[in-house]
Amino acid sequence: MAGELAGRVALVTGAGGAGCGGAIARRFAAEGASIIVMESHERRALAIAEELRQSYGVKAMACVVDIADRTAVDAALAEAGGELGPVDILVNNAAINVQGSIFNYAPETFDKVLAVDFTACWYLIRQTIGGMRDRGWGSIINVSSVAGYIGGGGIEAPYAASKAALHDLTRGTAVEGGPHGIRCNGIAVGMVWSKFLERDYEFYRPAVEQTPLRRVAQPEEIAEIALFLASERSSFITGEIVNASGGFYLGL
Amino acid sequence: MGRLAGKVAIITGAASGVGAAAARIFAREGASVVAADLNGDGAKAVAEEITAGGGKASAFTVDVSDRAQIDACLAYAESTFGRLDIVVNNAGMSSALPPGGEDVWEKGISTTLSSVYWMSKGALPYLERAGGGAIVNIASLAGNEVGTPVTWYCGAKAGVVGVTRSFATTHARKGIRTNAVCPGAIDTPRVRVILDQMPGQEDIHNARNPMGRMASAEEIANVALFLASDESSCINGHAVIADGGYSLVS
Repeated sequence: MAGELAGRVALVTGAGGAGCGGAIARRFAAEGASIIVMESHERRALAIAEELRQSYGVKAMACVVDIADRTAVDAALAEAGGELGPVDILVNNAAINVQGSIFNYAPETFDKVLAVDFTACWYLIRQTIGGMRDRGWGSIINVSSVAGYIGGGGIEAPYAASKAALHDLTRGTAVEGGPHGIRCNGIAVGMVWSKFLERDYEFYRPAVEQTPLRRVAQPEEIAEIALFLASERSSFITGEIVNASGGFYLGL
Repeated sequence: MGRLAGKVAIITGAASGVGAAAARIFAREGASVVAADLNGDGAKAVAEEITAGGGKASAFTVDVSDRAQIDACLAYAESTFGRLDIVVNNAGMSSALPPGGEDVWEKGISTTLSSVYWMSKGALPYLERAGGGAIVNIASLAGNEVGTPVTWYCGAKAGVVGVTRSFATTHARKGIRTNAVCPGAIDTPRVRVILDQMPGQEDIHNARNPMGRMASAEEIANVALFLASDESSCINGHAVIADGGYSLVS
C-alpha cells in the first residue's frame, strides 16, 4: 500500500474517542500504517480498530489496557508485536485531567494524573525505543499542552506539571535517540474541540477569544501535525515541542 | 493534488540553498512561485528549471534591504500570477560575510531583519485580498537558542522571531498565520564558506549533534512547506526548531 507511512507500525494511546487520538489513528492509517489502538475503553477501542481495517484496508488491533498498568502494557506490547510487528511510531496521546486547586487537591488524584499523563508515557517510550534502536529508525510523538508552558493557568497545576515533565522527557529522549535514527517531538495543543469542551464552552470562551486565531483546533488539525512529525518531511526536527495552539498565550 | 495547489508564493533568497530548495518543493506541490533574489541570474536559473519540469515559476531580482524593491516584488507576484497567498522570508546576509566592523551591524539588520518586517507588512493587503495566507520566516538557532560571536546575526534573527510572534497575534484574525523556522547548521554553499573559515568545525558540530550531521536544504524547505500549507492550520506564532537536537546539547 502506498502512503507516507507504508510499512510502519504505529501505536497510538487514547485512540478510541472522537478526539486527537482517533484522528491521528485515522490519518496514519490513511497513509498506510498498521495501527495499534491502545485504549482503556473497550467498545471504542474495538470500534476504531474495525473502522481502520474497513475504511483504510490496513492492519489494526485494539489493546484494551489502562496505560498506567505496566503489566497490562507489557502484555499488550507482546501481543501487538506478534500480530503487527514492532512499534516504529509511538504516539503518547492518552491523558487525563482532573482540575482543582493546590489548596485542597487530593494526593491520590495527583498520583493518578501523573501516572497516566507522564509516567506511562515514559514507560511506553522505554519499552519500545530498544526495538527502534535495533532497526535504526523511530519516531516518538508526545501529545502535550500549552498548559505545560504556563503552569495550568490556576486551574490544573498537576496536569500542567505532568505536561512540562513530558516536554523535558521529549528533549532528553531526542538527545539519546538521535544517534540511533530515533526522533522524539511533542505537540503542545491549546484548545481542541471535544464533547467536553462543547458542553462547557462558556467556561472556555474567554480563552478562545484570547487565541489569535479566535477558534479552537479540530482534532484533524492536530493529526496533520502528528503525521508531519512521524514522516520524513520532518527528518531534521527532534526535541522540538510544536506549539499547536493557534498562538494562545502569545497574545496580551 | 499538491499541498499548495492553486497558491502563489514569494520565496526570497531563492537562487540557492534553502530558498532554491523551497522554490522547487513549493512548485512541485502545486504553487506558482516567485523566485526572488538579489542574484537575478541565479533566481532565473531556478525558475527556468522549475518551468522546464512542468511547474510554475518566475524570477524577480530584488534587494530586500530596499523597500521600494520589496513593494515591486509584491506587486509583481500578484500581477504575474493573479494573487499572493504565501511569503517565505528566507533572504538575509550571511553571518560569515563581510567580516567585522560597526557598519556590518546596520547592513546586517537591514538585510536580515528589517527586510522581513517590510516584506511581511507590505504583503498584508495582498494576503487579505487572497482571503488569508501564511508568512514563513527563516530565522535561526542564533535567534532564540544559542549565542554566536556574530552579534548582528544573533540580534537580527532574534528580531525575526519577535516579528513573527507580533504578526501572529496581530493579523491572525484576518486568516494570516505567521510562523518561523529556526535551523541549526545546514549543508548549503553559504555554510560551506563559513566552515571553510573554521577548519575542524564541521566534525565538532557533527560529533555534538544528536543526529550526527547537518540538515540538508530540502529538510528545512520541507518545514517551510508544512508551515505554509493548511496542514499547519492551527499553528501560529511558533518558531519551529529544526536542528537535529543540537540546541539541546550545545
